[in-house]
Amino acid sequence: MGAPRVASYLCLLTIVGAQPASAQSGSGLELERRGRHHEAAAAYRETLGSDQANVGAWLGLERVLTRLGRLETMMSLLDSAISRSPASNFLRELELRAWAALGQGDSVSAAAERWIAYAPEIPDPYRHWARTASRRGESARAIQILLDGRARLGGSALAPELAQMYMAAGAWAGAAEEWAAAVMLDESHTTAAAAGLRQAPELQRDRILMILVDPHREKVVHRLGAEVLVSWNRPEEGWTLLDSALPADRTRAATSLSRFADRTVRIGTPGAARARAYALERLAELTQGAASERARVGAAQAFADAGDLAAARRMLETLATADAPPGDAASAMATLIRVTLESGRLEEADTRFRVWEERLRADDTERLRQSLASAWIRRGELGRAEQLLAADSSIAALAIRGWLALYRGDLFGATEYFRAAGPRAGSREEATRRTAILALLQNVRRDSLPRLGRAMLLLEQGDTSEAVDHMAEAATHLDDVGGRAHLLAFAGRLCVARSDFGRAESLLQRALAADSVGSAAPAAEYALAVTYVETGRPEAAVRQLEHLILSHAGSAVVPEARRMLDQVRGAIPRADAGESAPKRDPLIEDRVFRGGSAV
Amino acid sequence: MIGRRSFLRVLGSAGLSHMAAPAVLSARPLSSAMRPGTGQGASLLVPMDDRQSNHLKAYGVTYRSLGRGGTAEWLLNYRDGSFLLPDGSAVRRDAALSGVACEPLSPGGLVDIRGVIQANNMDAVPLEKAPKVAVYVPPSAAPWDDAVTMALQYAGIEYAKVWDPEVVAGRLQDYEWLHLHHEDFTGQFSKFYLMYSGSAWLAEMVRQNARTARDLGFGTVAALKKGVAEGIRRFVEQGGFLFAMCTATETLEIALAARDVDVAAQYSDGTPMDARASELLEWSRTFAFENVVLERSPSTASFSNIDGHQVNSPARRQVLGAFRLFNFSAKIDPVPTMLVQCHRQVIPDFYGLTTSFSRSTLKPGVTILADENGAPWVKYIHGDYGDGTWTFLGGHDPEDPQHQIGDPPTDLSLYPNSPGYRLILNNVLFPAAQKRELKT
Repeated sequence: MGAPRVASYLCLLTIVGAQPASAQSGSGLELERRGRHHEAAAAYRETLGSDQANVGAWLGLERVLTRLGRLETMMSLLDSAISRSPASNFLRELELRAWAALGQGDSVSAAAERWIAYAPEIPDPYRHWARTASRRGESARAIQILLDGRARLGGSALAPELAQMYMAAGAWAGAAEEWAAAVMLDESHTTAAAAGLRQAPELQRDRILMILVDPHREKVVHRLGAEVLVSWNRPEEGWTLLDSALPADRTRAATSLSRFADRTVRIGTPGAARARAYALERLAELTQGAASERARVGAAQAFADAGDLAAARRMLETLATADAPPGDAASAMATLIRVTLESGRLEEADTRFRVWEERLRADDTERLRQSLASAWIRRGELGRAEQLLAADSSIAALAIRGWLALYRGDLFGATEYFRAAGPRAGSREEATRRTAILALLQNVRRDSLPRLGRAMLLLEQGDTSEAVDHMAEAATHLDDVGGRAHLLAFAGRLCVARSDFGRAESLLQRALAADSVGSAAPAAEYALAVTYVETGRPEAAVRQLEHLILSHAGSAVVPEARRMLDQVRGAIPRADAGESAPKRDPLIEDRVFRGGSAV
Repeated sequence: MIGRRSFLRVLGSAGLSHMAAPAVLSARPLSSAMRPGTGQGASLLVPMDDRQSNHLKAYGVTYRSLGRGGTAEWLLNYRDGSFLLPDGSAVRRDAALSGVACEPLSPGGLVDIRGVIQANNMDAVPLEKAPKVAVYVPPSAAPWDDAVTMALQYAGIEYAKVWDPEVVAGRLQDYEWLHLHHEDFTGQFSKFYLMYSGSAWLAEMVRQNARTARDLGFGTVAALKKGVAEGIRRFVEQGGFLFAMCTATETLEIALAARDVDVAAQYSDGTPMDARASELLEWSRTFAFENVVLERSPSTASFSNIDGHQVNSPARRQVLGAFRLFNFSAKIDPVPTMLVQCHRQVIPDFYGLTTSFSRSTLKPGVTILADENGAPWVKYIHGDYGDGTWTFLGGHDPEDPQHQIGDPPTDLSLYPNSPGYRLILNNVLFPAAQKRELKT
């Protein structure tokens, strides 16, 4: 394949190289741009009269004559040009294209046969002939032309073209066979092959795989199979296949591994992370020095992303203490501390952090310090968290101090810290969560309420049930419009989020009884409607939602309420959104009741 | 069912003149409480420009207002095709629950609006009756794979489902408006037969169609679908309003043209497509197309060169662009004007098994409602046939431009201002403009 293609390109370059910078061709283009197609055609003809190898003029003439519906007038000029330059693939291709555009199928065939007779050893005539047939919608004819070409040229000639045609015709097994042949001739076809086979319908994929993983085929075909599997979001199978099909040459193997690892990034599943980790681990073994260390850090991060924290630590432990360059070692140690923390080994992570704190990058230091502080908070050791943050003046630390104050029942202090932290500390989810709590605190007219602090800490620790009890108890110490309705509504929504609908209904109705018109009411009504839906009372849900929409038209909950009303009435689908879809409370971020960390 | 001719005759005289002398237009005087803009009852303006919070449900609010016995007016080209409804607690409640923005009008404000309409390329078309809507779908189909049923469901517009038995029995005459979506009227199961062989949904589709054909006395599914196509043709001829999208447009036409020609592949009816099928087709029997070349390959999920985009033929597939709605004279061409009412003039294109319509295959009398600038295809077309009208819109789902089989359904609550879906709903309300014949 390679040699004939090079030959045809060279031929084209020869023509292009022969042309002078043509002012006439340039004027033709200018006239064409102005829409003066008749004059442009004349200018192009004039150019070609003195320079029949001018590619730009030929293409311009083809364009304008097509627009004028007079393409047939180009054919005699083209015929004479071909007589003078019979080896020009460009002119031959142009002739095929022009006859096809004129709807002269017989002339297309005759021109192709003439080209083949002149240059029987090159694939180009078959390629372009088949393309014209394909453009007319004659897929079977196009395939036959290519098969005839292969019969004459021998071997696996025209395999990529046949693969494309088979794909166009929906013959996926045939396409896979041809792509396999194509990559055996030239591995650079792998990208096009994988991109093409990626589109195969689900039902055809097993047949394609049978071809690409056939043990009797060469490893390059298996490598294509691995890439196709990744494109079908099956990275782990892809890795298994690639693992056994790596080239013996270390450089080529490293290229294959890097490419595979890169391809898995976009998938974003734990399985993809695991496959990526294996590939990078192998890459680290095959390479040396900084490249190896980078691969090892990448593998550790991928293992961590896949949830395999032990493997991540295995990758990092030697790296962080060995003779790695300081930057790589610090990066590896930051990852190791993160992995250790995520493994639940808080003391160990804390110790490593204190040892390495001075050598870590500043942003890693800050992030890890705050993660550790949050972890100590969840452990209930508020003092240790406070101690860690002592030297931290960042806005993220202010936000954590706000949580510390809240958990101690210091509502005034919490409010002040949250305000000082503003909306930019931490992630967007973190900021949303803070804002929701701040809104709640503003409605609780107390500076201090230790029981509420206890409830919030329990919530952070994941004990929602106990937290709800404390919150309901705290509510009894407040006036109806002095925070009671808000705390009861908040507690009710927490119960909805954990599918405790019986308790949710009771709390929400108490909240609405305390204050049915205040700012807590819309969210309470919404949560109550969710409760009705989830307990099989759609009519009650419709009534509640209609009441909410009509009574609190300006509330931020109303769009969600309308959406749920549509779902309950069957006006929009809800099946694929999952059963939990209407359960989701737009005002309660998942992490509030999940006790997630700020890592 | 009222035919197009009488409908147009009334429309022609009902525009601005309705404002000047409303009593002349209606044989039955409307009660002032139920009639907007007469000066006797208060009116609500439902703006359809960018001030509207939920364009799609606005159609539902209008439709339900008609269903309650009220009338409405469609203010063509006024704030992108606004509606004028009689004010009242029911309408206000409906609009509030639906999230539809409304503006109460003072009598003076209404006069101002009428002045603007009179002085510009605008018109006010009375809407008097909620049309009876039927959608052609298999009885067991969920609404989520059909853009029209999704739009109707979301807007809260009632519709009936009809299928082959109802069409063959002549029951289409019970409805004013019929919608077709991705049905394959050539009887080739959308030509997915080879590509998706073995999949449960296809097996069910084949089984269901084969049983229906047998029950109704047709030898093959292809023969059944030709019979159904003929029933639909008669429905339009006798005054029905047909709206079709996606494959239904192309295959309905092929089925009508192929009454005596075998255009179905061997897997479908046991015999291969007639080798001269393209030459033998009789296009005088169709609505929109002529001189069509059929796709002969049974494994290519394409039917002919009607579709400009050929989405399932990788070698011929064209990329998606955007289509542009045409402007019409509201006072002279109210029907096409109604069909293109939208708050966007240029809309991103979307694929379907039939995405667009090649210009080269359009019959001369076809009205192009939207096209892609410079492209050899158009997107949205309309025409008359007998006493009825037909409208074809290419593509499958305006908010899922590359819809694949098995994709999750579109949740229209996420696209309440979808311009593409507005075009569909224009078609639903368009027959509502139908009026009683004038007593002349």
